[in-house]
Amino acid sequence: MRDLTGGQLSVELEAQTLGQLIDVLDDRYPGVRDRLCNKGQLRKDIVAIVDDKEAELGLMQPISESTEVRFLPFMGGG
Amino acid sequence: MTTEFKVIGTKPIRPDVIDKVMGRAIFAPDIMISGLLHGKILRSPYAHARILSIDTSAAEALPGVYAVITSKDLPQTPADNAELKYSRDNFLAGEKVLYEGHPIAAVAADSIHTAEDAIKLIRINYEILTPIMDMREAMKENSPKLHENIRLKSLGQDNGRPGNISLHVQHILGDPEKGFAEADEIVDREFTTTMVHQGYLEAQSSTVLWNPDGNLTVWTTTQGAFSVQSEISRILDISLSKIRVIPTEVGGAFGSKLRIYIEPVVVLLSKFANRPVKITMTQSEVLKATGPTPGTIMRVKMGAKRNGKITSATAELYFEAGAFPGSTAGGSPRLIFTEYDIPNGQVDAFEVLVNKTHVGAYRAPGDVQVTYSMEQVVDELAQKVNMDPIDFRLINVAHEGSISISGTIHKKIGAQQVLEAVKNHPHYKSPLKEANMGRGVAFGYWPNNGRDSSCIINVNSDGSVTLVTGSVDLSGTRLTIAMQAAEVLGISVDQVKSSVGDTSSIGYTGSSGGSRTTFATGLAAIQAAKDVINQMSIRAASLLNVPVSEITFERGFFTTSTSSSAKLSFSELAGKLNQTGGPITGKGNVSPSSWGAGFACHIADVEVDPETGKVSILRYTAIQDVGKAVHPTLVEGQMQGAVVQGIGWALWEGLFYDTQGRMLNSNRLDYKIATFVDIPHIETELIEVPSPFHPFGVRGVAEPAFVPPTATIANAVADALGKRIYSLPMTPEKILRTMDVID
Repeated sequence: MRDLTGGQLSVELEAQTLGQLIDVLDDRYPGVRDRLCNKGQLRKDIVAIVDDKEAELGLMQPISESTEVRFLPFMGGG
Repeated sequence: MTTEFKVIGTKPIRPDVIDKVMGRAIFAPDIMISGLLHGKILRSPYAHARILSIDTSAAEALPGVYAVITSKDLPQTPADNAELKYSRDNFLAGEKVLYEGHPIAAVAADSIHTAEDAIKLIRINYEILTPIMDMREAMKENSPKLHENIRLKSLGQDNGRPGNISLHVQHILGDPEKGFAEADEIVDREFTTTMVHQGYLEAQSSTVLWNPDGNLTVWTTTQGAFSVQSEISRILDISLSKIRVIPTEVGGAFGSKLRIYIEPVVVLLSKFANRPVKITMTQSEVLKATGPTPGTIMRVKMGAKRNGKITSATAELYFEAGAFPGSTAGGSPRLIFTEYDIPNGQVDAFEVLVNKTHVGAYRAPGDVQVTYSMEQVVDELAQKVNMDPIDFRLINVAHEGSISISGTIHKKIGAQQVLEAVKNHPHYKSPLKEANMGRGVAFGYWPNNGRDSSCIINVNSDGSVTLVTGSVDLSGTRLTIAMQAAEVLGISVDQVKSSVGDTSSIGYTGSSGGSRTTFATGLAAIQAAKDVINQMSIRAASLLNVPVSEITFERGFFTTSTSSSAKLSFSELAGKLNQTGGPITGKGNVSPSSWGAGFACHIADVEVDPETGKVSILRYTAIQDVGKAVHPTLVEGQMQGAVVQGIGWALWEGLFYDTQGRMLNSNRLDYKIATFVDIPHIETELIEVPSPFHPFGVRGVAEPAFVPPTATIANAVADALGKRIYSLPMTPEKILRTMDVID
């Protein structure tokens, strides 16, 4: 997503859920939502890590003041 | 965390082995139903061609033929849904065939012989196109395109130009160039690997009974009944509730049976024939038209200071996708360099379309290839700074809190403990002196997986329980899951009848893959067992006439805090359930969001015959952080099996094609896998660093074991030859060429 954020690796934002956070990100860096989401859900090939845990509630995952969120490619397995 | 176990860590006999050894286990080809028809698929003899016309009339007229289908019998695909079109096209080709073996039509008939005769009567006019078999050719601007509508999605953006590169993913950490400027030594190498098949012996086989009411039942060999159900639903626009999938015993999978290849075709044949239909693929069809692991081109560069500290690492990774987009290219950048704490780095991964079968998953998908390349560069770098290869790795090994180039932050891991165990192992300390012998080591990581699992436990009146999960048993997981339930219930594992449910009998459960089953479905079983205990505690309170808050369950007994003599055993209480409110069913539905990664390091001694180029494996040791080993013998089996597969990949295996895209070794004689005559006894050492995300400390074990072998053997062969071979497989021909014995 670095091409959308002008090379910025991390940003601080305010949001209460993962979905809101992506909305705020998209306002600041247009195109982020399309990169991460498809049809109102996180894309299948993206994993959101919220404070070291996979966001099991998807875009409804709660976010608190000091939450760290990272977006990684999905790893399946064999 | 529980530290004293009664069941976990023991070695009971697998409940499924007697049936398998005696030939009684039911595999997919064994399914027989009254009125069963036999299906056969017509496949393309060309790797790249346009389909101009299909005439099925002669096949339809053949006596004994009940149904003939082509892509016209699939639902209409919306123009904007390319992903669905690719999926449907892979079951029955539409406008083009894109690899040798691509399905075009299918027949159901009263015997397999009639079906075989019928497909020969189907007439197809082709416009033969130039096949693209090589990634370097495929990536050229003027190369023929497999799909006119595919444009490179580079870093998430569509570049607007048609091409055969369908994906570019990039990760950057720190300043890679600055890191290389700080290095005293730099190694920069290019590696290639070929497509490799998973080598399972049981071919794909499915039987479908389509009922006139629109409900259908599927018996199939798969790693996940629910994924078969959802794929049939997606491909054929059928409601999930109408599809029941019954998984049979599995004769090997290793990732290939995560995806389906024939089920929607069999569903359509059964629907149109109004009879049950079975298709069993031949071994040739399996090799030509299922999903092998991608071939690769990988350029890896790493730099280190003389003190051994790696300062920077970069990789450019190209993965064959085969005929359709979708491969391990997206995820593999998360795997390379993740074993080490490296401050600067960049990984670029590309997915390239070629006229070969669409790739699939193979045990630690993508990880084997990237580790094969990285660990050879690590070895060369260790030599350049004059360090022991294990000491070099110990200087750079990842720890809890280390962040990888792709952004993975390690949790509690046993990486350092594994390397220290290698350094102290008698094998590593033993001398190896004779000419043409070499020793290699390699280190590997696999993140493992969690995700959705379900389990139910029913309590029987004699104190035994029946346990049902949705996890297909590939490796003895019926037992390892039962052992976890038994540990919680305080009963013997013999008292747990563990079985695999179908999509109508158990809640959604993800496929058995990603080394998740003993971990995640084990958690579901633990939750279900605790639910049983909670419900039985209420019954015990009723019988003992105390509040439920005073009931404690420990070591198989329900006791009260007020009276030492008032207690009920699990089996005693089980016998009284029908007097205290009726049956009890415990349930567990989990979706663990954290799990423990696995690390493995292997040691191999090899001897190269300078006259024939044959590589003999003299001694092999696999050391791995397995978390808490639920069943140590099964864990060792996973480690040893992984090494056997790795030896085959390192030395012989590969799918080879001629320039026209015809596979040259599509049979089990010419596609050589390792057998007992090729392998030594494989020593194992289990390092148990408990995962913090499981009450017993369980980690996945099957895939971490498969990551190091190819690199380990490559490093050993390089040590023996004094020269390195940069491609897999390391065939005798390549060995002799490297030794300058042949040109």
